[in-house]
Amino acid sequence: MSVPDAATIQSFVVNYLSARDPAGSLDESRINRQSFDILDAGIIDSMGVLELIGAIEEHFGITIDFEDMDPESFTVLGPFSQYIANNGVPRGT
Amino acid sequence: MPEIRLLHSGFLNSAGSFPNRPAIAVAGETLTYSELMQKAASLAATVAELNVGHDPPLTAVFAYRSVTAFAGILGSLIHGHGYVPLNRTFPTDRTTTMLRRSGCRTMIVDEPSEIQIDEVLAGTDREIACILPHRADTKDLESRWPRHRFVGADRITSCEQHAPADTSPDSPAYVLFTSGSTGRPKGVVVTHANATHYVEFIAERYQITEQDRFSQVFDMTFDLSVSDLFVAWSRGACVCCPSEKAVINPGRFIKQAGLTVWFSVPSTAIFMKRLGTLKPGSYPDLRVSLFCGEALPVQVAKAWAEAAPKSIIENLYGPTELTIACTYYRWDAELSPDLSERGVVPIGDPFPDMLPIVVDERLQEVGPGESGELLMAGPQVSPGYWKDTERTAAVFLVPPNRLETFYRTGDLVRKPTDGRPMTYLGRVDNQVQILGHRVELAEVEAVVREESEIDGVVALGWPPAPGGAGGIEVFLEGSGAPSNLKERVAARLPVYMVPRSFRCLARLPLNANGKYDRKALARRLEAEP
Repeated sequence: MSVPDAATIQSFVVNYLSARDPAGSLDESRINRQSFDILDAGIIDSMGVLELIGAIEEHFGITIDFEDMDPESFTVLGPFSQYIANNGVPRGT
Repeated sequence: MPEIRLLHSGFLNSAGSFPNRPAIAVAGETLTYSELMQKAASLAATVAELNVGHDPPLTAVFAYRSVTAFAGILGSLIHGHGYVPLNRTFPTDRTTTMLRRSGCRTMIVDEPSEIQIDEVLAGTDREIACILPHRADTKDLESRWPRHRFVGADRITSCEQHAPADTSPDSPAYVLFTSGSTGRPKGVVVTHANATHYVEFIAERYQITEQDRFSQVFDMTFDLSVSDLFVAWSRGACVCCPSEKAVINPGRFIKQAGLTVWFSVPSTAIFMKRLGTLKPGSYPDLRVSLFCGEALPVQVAKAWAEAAPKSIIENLYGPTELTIACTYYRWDAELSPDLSERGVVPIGDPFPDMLPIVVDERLQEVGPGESGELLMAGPQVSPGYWKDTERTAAVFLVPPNRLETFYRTGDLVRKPTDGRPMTYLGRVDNQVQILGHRVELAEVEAVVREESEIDGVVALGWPPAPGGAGGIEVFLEGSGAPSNLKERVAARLPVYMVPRSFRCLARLPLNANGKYDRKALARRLEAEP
């Protein structure tokens, strides 16, 4: 399995958040923005971010090391997805 | 070292000894002791000028990770008031409740918190004098709120005019509101005498000097922040406050700020381990690493020891009512794993002059090696809850055959025996520990009940984490909950208390005593895919 591109990861994250928002409080146009902060919507908390990362690793068969991630943009949708696309490593390599 | 009589005495000493050394680095700005002292003294003089009196002897500080937050705390103390920290990341309803319950008549506000000032003032029942040092003037606020008073930069009193207050060591240094089972937060009063006992012991134990650089990752509404600030300032060290975002994954911040002393909840270390920022040798400059607020998993202590190879690691334990922390345990890579229980590091020995006893339900002491509830007496025991004699009397009490007042922690521990240190086993009641915060599940249930208008509500800490829980899940009796329930609950509770999801069951299971069967509900969660 290869590492998906940023757009694929971003749509996975959007779907993941929408599935956890039964009340539908997320505004489609907002959540799809690169600058959307994953924590701001209140759908998941910081522990939930770890679960989201686990889900991404599981789904795409990759592992991600966040050592080089800029902490200021760690939970911002665009940079978060781009970082994973650039730094994800297929499992077993 | 000169004796410190009041919580801020150490800061005043350092402002004299190290005027040009850095005292605080926050929001991209570094202030020396002399600069921070000037800001604090002028806020103190401004509070004095407002002449609101000393009933209550408290000033609210509605500020977060800003120069005004730190200067505001010091300014309140220098004026002779304890501080009541308010946090704009909390729902404004809760902030308003805290402000009302505290009875504060003055409030120091920073620029980013000002966005909530109208909502907060709307809920107050008395005149509040607000100090907004970032504002050129406050004319618009004055016209909007004729029943309150405002001071902007144009009327801040100069620092030369502050007169030292005659503060008693037994007066409040701070009042912190924590989760209460009746759905009302309770204000824990901590005196100067309580807090200086902690500060002096810690500063001496870790040989803190003016060369040290401290982390400051705790919100000020969390009492562990008092440790960072006042231990550092008592010895002329620098307090380094990361941005709100950097707190989540602080690896880079530790390196860039050149930290030598680290203090956080274990959850932060769990995060770092998971994100790959706890690699061996990552933090060679750290010399002291402290963890408190929740159980410290053995695996996390091991990983931290490798990541910070020159650092000692200590697990501290203590509820807010016992002033920050009152027991310590030094991690030893060889010995500690075998002495740990349930995968968590022991809580160890009491601070000097603190007296622990471990008791059964009848408050009789249990034997060595047996488990029971931990009670503690000593100089760090808080005088109780702010204006709440009933709840104070329920947990601050004199056990049979004792003379001193002990605080009932509600924590289940194993009494030390044969060289085995005291270990933490969990809670005796329905409190859970989430990200270092003690949460009364009954308070969450009370809020959900009101917002859903459903009587059958059970909140569970879930998933289980060592000594606590990852979050909260709620079961409701009936066919459906209002679709915006989570939003409504989130508007009233801080984020760590908001349930992650709600499940409806036609009937909630009951146990033999006719109470909701929490264990059966936990088994349901466990069985979920």
